[in-house]
Amino acid sequence: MLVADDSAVFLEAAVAVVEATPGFEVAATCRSATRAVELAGDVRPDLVLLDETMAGADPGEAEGRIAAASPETFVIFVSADPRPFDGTAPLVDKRSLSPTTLGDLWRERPSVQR
Amino acid sequence: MVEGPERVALRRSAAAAPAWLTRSRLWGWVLLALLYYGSARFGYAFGFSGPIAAIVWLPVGVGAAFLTIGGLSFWPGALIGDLLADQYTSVPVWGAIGQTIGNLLEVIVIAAVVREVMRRWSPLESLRGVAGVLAGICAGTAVSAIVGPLSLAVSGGLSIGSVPHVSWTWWLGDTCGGLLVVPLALAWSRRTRVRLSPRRAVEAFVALAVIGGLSLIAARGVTPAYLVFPILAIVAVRFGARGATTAVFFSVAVVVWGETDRHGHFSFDSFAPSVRQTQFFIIVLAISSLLMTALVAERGAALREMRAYEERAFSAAEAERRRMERDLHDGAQQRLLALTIRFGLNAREATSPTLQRLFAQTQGQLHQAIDELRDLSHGIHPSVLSELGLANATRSLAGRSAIPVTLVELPTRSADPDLQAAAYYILTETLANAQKHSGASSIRVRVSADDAGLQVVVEDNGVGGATETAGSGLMGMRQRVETLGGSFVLESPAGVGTRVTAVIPARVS
Repeated sequence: MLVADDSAVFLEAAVAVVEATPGFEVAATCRSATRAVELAGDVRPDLVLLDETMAGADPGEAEGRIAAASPETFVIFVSADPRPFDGTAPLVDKRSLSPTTLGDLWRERPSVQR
Repeated sequence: MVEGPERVALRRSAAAAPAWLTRSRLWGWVLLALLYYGSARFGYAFGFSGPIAAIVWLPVGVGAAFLTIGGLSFWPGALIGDLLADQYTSVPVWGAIGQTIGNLLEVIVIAAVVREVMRRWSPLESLRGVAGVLAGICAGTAVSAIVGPLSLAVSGGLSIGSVPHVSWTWWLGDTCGGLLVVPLALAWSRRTRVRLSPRRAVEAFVALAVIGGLSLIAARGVTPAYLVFPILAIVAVRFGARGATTAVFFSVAVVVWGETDRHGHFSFDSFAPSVRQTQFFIIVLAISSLLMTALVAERGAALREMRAYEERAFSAAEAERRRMERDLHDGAQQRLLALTIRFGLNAREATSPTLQRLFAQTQGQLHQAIDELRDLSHGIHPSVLSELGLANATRSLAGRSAIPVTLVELPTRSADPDLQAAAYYILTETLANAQKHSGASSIRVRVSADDAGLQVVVEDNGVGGATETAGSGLMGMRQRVETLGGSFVLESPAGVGTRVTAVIPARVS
C-alpha cells in the first residue's frame, strides 16, 4: 500500500501502524497529494492512506484522480481534523489509526460488499 | 502630514497646465490679459470699485490664480491686462506705471508663494496649506499696497499724508480680491468630475439659495451679515473646498452689490467706514471658511488614515493567527498524533492488567491533549476556513454542536479571508454560548455573502436574557465586527431566546 502525508513525523508513525497490521506492507510513501496520484498510477497499490488536509480544498477530487490512475485502489483518508467532504472514501481521525481500524476498513471496503 | 489624493491631483494640475495653453505661450498671455481686464471692468461695472481703491479688486485674484495654476511665465498676460485696465487718464503717467509694476509684482509674489506652498501641502485641505496661501496673498497685496500709493504720491497724484490711509484701503481691497478668487480657482482647477446625486444637488441649491437670501437681506440692512456664517460652515462641512469657496464668493458678491447701492448694512454714515466694514466682513468670512474647510478635510484624512491603519493592523493580526495555526497544526499536533498511534501499537504488547490500565489512562490523556490543541488552533484561526471556505466550515461547526442546528442559509460565494474569519469567530462564539447558557432545544443559523459583505444571524429558542458585559464573549464579538466597520446587534429578551446579528461590510480597496 501507499502512505501519503506531508508531516514526516506522522508519516513514520503511520508506516509503523501499517507494518504492524497483518497482511499489509508499505510499497511507497510520499509527502504530497500530487505525488500520491503519480505513485498510485505507477505502483498500483491495493490501498492508499492519504492525509485529507494535504489533499487540499477538495479531497473528493484527489480521490477521483487516484481512482482514474488506478481503478482497483481503495482510498482511506486520515485527518488531524476530520470534517465532511464530497467523496466516498472513508475518513479516519488520525488519533484512532491502528492496525484494527485499518483491517476493519479494508474488510468492509465497497468492492468486497459487492 | 497627510498626502491625500486631492493634494496629488491639485499638484498635478498645477504642474501641468492644459495642453492648449502650453502649446503656445502667447494664447496664455492673451487669455490672462482678457481675464484680468475683464475682471477689472466687471469690478467697475458692478461698483466693486471705489474712486481710488476697490472694495474688492478682483484682478489680483484672477492674475494670481492664473499664474499659480498655469505657471509664473504667464506674467506678461497680467502686465497687458493691467495696462489695459488702468485708468491712465485720471492719474499721472509715472504714478500709473508705478502702480502697474506694483500690481504685477503683487500677482507674481502671490503665485510664487502659493506654488511653493502647494509643493509641500494641500493649499486648501490642510491648515498649513491655508496658512501659506493666506500669507502669500497678504504679502503680495502688501507689495502692491505700498508701491502703488507711493508712486502715485511721488508723481503728485496723491498727497504724501494720505498715503498710509490709501495704502491700508488698497491692501484691504486687494486682499479681498485675492481671498475670494485664488482659493476658488484652486478648488475648481482640479480635474475631478463633480458628481452630485439629485439629493445632493437639491441640498447644494438650497444652501446657495439660503446664502443668497441671507446675504441679500444683510445687504439691505435688515439683518446682520454674520447670519450667513452658520450656513457657510455647513457648506464647508458638506461640500468641501469647492462648495465653501463658491459659497463665499456668492455671498460676498451679493453683499458687495448691496453695499455699493449704499443701502446695505455696512453703510453707516460715510462711504469710507462702510467700505472698511464690508472689507473686514469679506476677509473674516473668507478666512473662517478656508480654515473650516481645511479642518474638515484634515479630519476626514485623519479618519481615513486611521481606518486604513486599523485594517492593516487587523490583516496583520489575522495573518499571524493563520501562521500560528499552521505551525500548531503541522508541528505539535502531528507529533502528538504520531505519538498516540505509536503508543497504541505498543499498548497491544502489554500483558499485565496494571500495565494495560496505565496504557489506557495515558492514551486518554494523549487524546485529551490532542483535543485541546485542536480547539486551540481552531480558536486561533480555523484551517477548515482557509481550506474549505465559510460554508463548509459552518457545516462542520453545526455538526459538532450538541444542540441541533438548522442551517437556514449558507454563503454560495467566498469572501475576504479576514471577513470570513470574523464571521466564523461569531459562529463559534454564539454556538458555544448557546450550548453553555441558553438551554435551547434548537439553533437557527443564517450566513450569507454578497457584494456588500457578510451577514451572520444566529438565533436560539433558549432562556434569553444575555447581556454584553465588559470582557464577555459578546463584547469581544462586537469589537471584532466593529473593527471591520460592521454592526453587531444582540437581541435577547428573557424567556424568548437570543438572536445575534452581525453585518460585516466588504472592504473597499
